[in-house]
Amino acid sequence: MSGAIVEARGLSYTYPDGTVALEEVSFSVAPGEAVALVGPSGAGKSTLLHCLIWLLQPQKGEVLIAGRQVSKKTLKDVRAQVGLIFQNPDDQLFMPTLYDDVAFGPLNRGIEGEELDKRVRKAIADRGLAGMEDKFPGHLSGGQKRLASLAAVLVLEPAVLLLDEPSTNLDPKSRRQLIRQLDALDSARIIASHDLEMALDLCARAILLDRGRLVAEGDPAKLLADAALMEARGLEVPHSLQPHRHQHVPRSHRDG
Amino acid sequence: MSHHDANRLDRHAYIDSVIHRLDPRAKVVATFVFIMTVVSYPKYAVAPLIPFVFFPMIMAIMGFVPMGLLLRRLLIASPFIVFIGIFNPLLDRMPMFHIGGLALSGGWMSFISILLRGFLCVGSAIVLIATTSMPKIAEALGELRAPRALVVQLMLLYRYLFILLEEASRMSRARALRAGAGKARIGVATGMISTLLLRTVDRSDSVWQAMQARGFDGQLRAPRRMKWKMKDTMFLLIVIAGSLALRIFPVTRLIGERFFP
Repeated sequence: MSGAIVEARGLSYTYPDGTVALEEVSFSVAPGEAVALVGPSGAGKSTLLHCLIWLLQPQKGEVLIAGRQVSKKTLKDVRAQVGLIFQNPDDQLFMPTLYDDVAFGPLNRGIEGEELDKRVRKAIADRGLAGMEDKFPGHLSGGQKRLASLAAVLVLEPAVLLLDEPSTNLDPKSRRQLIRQLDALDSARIIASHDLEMALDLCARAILLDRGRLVAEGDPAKLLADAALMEARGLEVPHSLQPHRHQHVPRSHRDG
Repeated sequence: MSHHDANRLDRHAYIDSVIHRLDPRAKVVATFVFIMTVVSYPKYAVAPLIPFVFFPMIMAIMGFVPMGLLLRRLLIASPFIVFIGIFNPLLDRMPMFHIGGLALSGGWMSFISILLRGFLCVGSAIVLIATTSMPKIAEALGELRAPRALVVQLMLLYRYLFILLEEASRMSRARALRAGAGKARIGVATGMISTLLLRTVDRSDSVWQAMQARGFDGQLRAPRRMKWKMKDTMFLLIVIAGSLALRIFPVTRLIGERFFP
């Protein structure tokens, strides 16, 4: 795809213990586009996200970010354009205060003084966490931690945002808040998730991975509604796409 | 150290008090001066060290550090302190001090001195952590031009210590749910420790990856927000002057001569 912000060509990755995690995966993402990465556990979703910014270096294939090939030489510049939200926000928040954590990335990019302060406070306020600047991130609630990790990445204004299971462990209200926040972003977003309803809400395209291979790609409303395809991959059609939705009746109230 | 204790100490560092509001650099330098003064006494010194108890005590009281927590942490350190001087009474048997009819040997005097110094140094360090937080101490050390490698190591050690404690706590709960609350057998405990190590390495890897993804290049940068105020200068001057005064003037002897001539 010409003008793609992310382009993966024939990516393959095998873990040191011999587990093949990715095999010849190719796809591209346009600027501002939101793409869902779906598949069963162990399909290679997280590995793919890590390979895109060389946290895991693929053994085969190449990645282009904004037209620049990812290599040791370009890694620093590439990572400045790509933000990765980890599955567990506790892994991502390691500084003593929320302010310091959000400031960590910009400081490493040489942003200091008033510009730093302005950016950090805005990123925190935009995520609805104003007033919590001096809090220890480890003491925030699950939903707040997720928003804090989002602030820590968005403060760098990345052109691409990679999200690994962003709605895991969130209560319905925090999940809805996160979806609203992600929907309002201009960055290209690649969202690896088991939360297919969220994929439907946010993404214009879905990529289905299974055992390290890209098996299908297309409109999420069509792809995720394909019961045969989904069941063959150990997945279920999202509730909102199921044709005959009945009112829920508890098992104890059903006949027989 | 239990996860609960570590968390309590850590959380305490984020409350508000007169001591918490002091510049971390002032507290780090004051603690350093205090420790250096305490360890500079001759090996048989016991009575001259007693007035030094007031520094960690006052800091703890003004910083609202729970005494139970402080004593528990001191208790954890006590075997190490005891071990340092445990053989002194056996090696140095020369009588040095008489209380009534009881003669105390030089070995016992130096052993008591080691205990006192150890508890004073560890106690002041615990109070420093409880009123400053480890990350702020690391930041202060950076500002004080301590070697960068030391500061980064300290910061990462702190972060990974919590990861280790969290994992240990989860595993311990999981074991207790399936095996009851009794002690684990040696075989089970060994297996748990090796699993704990592997899980901690995995989580440490994730933290490391998160740092790399945000441009970490080995240098830990923190926003410069520390502001030195007059109260910090006053605090530091009081601690330095107090420590030197106690070191130079034999305060305990003078008190003894005044009240017990």
